[in-house]
Amino acid sequence: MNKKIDRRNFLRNGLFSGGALFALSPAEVFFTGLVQGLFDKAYADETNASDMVNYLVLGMAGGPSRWYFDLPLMPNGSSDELGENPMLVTAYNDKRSQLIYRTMSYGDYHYPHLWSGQVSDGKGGLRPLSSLLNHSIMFRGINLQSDGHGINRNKQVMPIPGSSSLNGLVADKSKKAIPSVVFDNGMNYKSGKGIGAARISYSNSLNELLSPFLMPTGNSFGRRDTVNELIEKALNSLSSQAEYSSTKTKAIFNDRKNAKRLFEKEFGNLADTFSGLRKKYEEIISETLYINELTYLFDNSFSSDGGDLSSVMRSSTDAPSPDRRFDFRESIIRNNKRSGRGGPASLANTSISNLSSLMAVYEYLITQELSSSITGVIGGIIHANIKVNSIYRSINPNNDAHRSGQKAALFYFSKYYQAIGACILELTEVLKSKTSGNGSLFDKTVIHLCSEFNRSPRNNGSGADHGWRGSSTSLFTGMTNKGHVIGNIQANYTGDSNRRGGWGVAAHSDDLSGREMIIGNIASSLSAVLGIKSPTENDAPLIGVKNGKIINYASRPKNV
Amino acid sequence: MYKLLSLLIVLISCSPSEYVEETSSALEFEDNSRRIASKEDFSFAHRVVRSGDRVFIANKLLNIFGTSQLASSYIFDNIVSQQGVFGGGCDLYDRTYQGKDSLLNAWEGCFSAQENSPQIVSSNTLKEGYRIRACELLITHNEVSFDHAMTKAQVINADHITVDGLNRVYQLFYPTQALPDETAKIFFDYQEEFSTRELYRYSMLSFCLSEGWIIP
Repeated sequence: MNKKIDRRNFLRNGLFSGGALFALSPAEVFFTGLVQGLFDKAYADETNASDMVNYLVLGMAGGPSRWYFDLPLMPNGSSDELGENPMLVTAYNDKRSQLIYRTMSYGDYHYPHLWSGQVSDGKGGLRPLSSLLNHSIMFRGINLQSDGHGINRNKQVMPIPGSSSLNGLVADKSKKAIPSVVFDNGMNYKSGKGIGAARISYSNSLNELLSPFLMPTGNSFGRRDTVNELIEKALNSLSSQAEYSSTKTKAIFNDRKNAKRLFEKEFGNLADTFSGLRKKYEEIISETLYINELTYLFDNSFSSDGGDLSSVMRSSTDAPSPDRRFDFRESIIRNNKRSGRGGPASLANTSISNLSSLMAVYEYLITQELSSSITGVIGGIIHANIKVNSIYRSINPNNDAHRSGQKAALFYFSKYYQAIGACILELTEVLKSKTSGNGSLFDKTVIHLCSEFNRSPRNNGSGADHGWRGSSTSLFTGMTNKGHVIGNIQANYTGDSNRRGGWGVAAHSDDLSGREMIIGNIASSLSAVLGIKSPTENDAPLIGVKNGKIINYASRPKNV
Repeated sequence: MYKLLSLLIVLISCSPSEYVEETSSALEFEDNSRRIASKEDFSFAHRVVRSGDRVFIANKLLNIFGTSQLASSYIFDNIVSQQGVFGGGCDLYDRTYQGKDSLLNAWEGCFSAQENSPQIVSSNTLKEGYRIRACELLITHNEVSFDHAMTKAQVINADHITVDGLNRVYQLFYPTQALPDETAKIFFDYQEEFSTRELYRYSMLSFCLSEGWIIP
């Protein structure tokens, strides 16, 4: 093997040959020893895969309002001041006549009312959504510093445009067969070491992803053992003797061996596997969407009374408005349970765009230990059905809800988040049941729920616009067994006279030397949890990890 | 005193780094993260394994196996269209070159669909999966492309395997190198088992699967 004689090797070789060692002056020995120690440390830091954490990015396109779900506006309960805005509502009041901001107390914080409800377990039963809070870290009050759907979506994983992305840095560290998977409409991706991401679509994703390891005639190439033996002998011989043999080719040699193992693995019918998993999550979504029982929230009519306050989620003025007194709950269709209410049989089940496919891929690839980094983006609710001029009309409520009034936004976003929460909860339960090292797979997984921005609600309750000054993001991981809420927000934002209130605008924090939280702080926090080098080293992390558990460096969140 | 101090410093700084045992993977993959930059090599530059991009690999395979319809589709499906896995951007020169081996037609849509894919991608298992698949399909699933390569190596009508013949097959992939004797010997050991054509087939498959030629 040809070894390059560079300065580092020269010094190293010198160090290890006893005679040369003593020929060096103490200063040289100290210097070279120090250099080597640093390299050893760097090597150990970068290659120790025992702390490899799976990173699942679940992006929500369009920028839905977050205060219904994972943006607690009053985490300390009544002691928090909350500037009013008609859009900042989470439930009905006791008399069920007025929409209010209601919270539920769980652990150390007060969360939006939605968390007190139950969601489908996919087996015909229900379970409390709040159990997910035990593993949650919610960052609020993030100033994204600029507006725009695309750029802010990509910032969630690539805080500095063009630099290595978080999903790429995780891939760099991965030794899984497919280090990174990015769905077609996913976010940016860039590896620091040139590790490519496999790009897949949302239909038949597993087959698409694993097709390189499937032959038309089945796996194992369908030939005699003697042939395989001959080829292996030849390959080993070539690899060990050829002039080109080097660390470079060793890496490719190992990758080829890994690939061959995948060819020999019995994947079964991937289309069926994908379809089965997707069906499970589709069932959870539609069942959860259909649940209307959550005291103070869904057990009262969401009756349309016309006007801006009830307009269906839409971003354009030509989208239809429902008939007066139309109950939004009727727009959620689940065909096999249509006896009580609902529309014609021809209407498709209401669902969430891409969510079941993404969850299916997460579950399969993580439990099969095939990938470490999966990035996807879901859309909004699809196949909601409203009555317009007494006729059902299928609509896709838009997450970019500029013109979604108070009632419609509360109803559809509550449903949206309930279903997402149900799916994440199911995934966490699956991961908890799988052992990995001394713990479970969930202990080594971070689910990152992010979006382009939060929304800035209009004072007249007619909708909400791009709230990039007050974004939020959440992590769900087995590395914590209690909920965390991090970040200060302005109690009553008055910087925009048409979008006032305590909707989550970033506020100065002592934890950040009097500055506002920015996306770099989130990237550094995530990097600390994922065990990667932060792409935004100058921005302090607000959480870290010790002995596999989250440490919260931040002070208690405040509305200031 | 100096010597003792020096030895102490060296021993401290060279002590093995702490490793925690990795958890077992379902498939027990080889750990490339350590292999790529082993302590023996001590060179971080070797960690990024830059191998040929889709343009390099596809053109090499087209050159060896020809541009028959099936060969082209195998190469397109497994190499050319996998820009995210192999790297390689949209080549303006290739789009304007209309020689018989051009990928002109295969590259349609390149700019609209894959402009964000990386130019350089290091080795990974998925990439190797596609490469294995392409080699297998071209050599063991399609006699036209196999015959094209056999003709090119001038062994299409060979009665028995020879060192020269094996060498010419080897040089389809490694034009400037000679097949190591030890490797050639392996194929002679299997003369009783396989026909001449099959021995050339498996030698070609071995060379196609080998890792050296994909490093430009």
